[in-house]
Amino acid sequence: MRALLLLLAIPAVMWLTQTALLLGTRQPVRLRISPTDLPRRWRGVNRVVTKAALLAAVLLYPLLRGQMPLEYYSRFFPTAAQTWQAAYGAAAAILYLTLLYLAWTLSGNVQFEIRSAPARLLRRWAGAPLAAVLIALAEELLFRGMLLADLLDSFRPAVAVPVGVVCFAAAHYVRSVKRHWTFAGHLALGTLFCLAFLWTQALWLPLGLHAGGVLVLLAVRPVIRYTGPAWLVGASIYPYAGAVGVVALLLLTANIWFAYAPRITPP
Amino acid sequence: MSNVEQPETVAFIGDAPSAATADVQALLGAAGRRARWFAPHDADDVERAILNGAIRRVVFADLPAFLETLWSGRVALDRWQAGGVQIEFVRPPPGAAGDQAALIGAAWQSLRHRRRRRQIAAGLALSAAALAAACALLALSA
Repeated sequence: MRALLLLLAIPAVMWLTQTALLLGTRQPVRLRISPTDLPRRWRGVNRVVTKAALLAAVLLYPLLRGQMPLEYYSRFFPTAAQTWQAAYGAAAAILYLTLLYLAWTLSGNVQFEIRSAPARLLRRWAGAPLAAVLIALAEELLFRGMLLADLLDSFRPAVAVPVGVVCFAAAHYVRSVKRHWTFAGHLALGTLFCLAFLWTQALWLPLGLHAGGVLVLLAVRPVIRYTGPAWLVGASIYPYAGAVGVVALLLLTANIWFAYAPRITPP
Repeated sequence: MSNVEQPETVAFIGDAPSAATADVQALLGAAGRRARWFAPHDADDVERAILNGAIRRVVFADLPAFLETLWSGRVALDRWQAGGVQIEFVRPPPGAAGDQAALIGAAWQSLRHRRRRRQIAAGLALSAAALAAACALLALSA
């Protein structure tokens, strides 16, 4: 439960930072966490504090358990043999997303349209692999390495996994967001990552799945426009939140179960 | 070479048989012209006939029928205009600009609605194929 409390402390820190910045710029305090009214330079401060709070939670949790962070998290990155799970996960996520984008392009639900200058586009693409790994690593350490591992210490998987999934999905809505209909997609995504962690007892596979997905989204975002209905194909960086995306995540979860779930051997 | 003047061939683009078909035959027959019917999805054949010089006039049932053909992307109006092609309507559009805008809006909506249905059907079918392919590939490689 320590991990859950640490996780809940993050939005509290975010809100307190926002409140201090709002008061500092003589603006009314609000309950909603949204940096939109803050001056540009204060938004940067807000972002840095949020990331520092995430990092602090990840580092503080092992210390509260009496372990060094490296010692604690290294158990989720076992042996070279399991490293391949990351490659499998990344390839699986890239395969699903690429085929879906191909299907949606052919059916007119997505249009190819370059939306930034060539130099900027190349910079984005060049930075996409590293960004994908860092985003995936941060979220996996926080939600699987810290939260789900802690929940699994206290509860049965049938309780721990749903709680981990809901926390992961809800965390994407702590800050004010444009879309709320993407929640089902976040639940399906959380289910995939949590079960991948549960079945392998390691972070390689969820990390690979997560990084592969983020990589495709970052690479595709500046060159496509969604023209189909959002309920079918999603929108923006949420192709997994439409009906097809949710089904894709469930099928991918089935694939992962087929490949990695522990089998009960008959006596 | 014959000096006998052939009756002018006019393209009629529209669904047949429709209420407009009889009207267009009457209209053209009275003017001594021959009509050649093209279904809306064959509008690109009209393009070829125009480029060959076989057709100089195109008749539509009404303004919405013309706009739907135009927005389907199968005809290039700029080439028609460059070739001096005349466009006529069996039922001419009302004169008031507001009425025309409403008609254009209604036709566009109708086209978008049909296009969206096709998009959804194709999207579902191709997505199912993509998902089946990805799922099968991963299952086989596991």
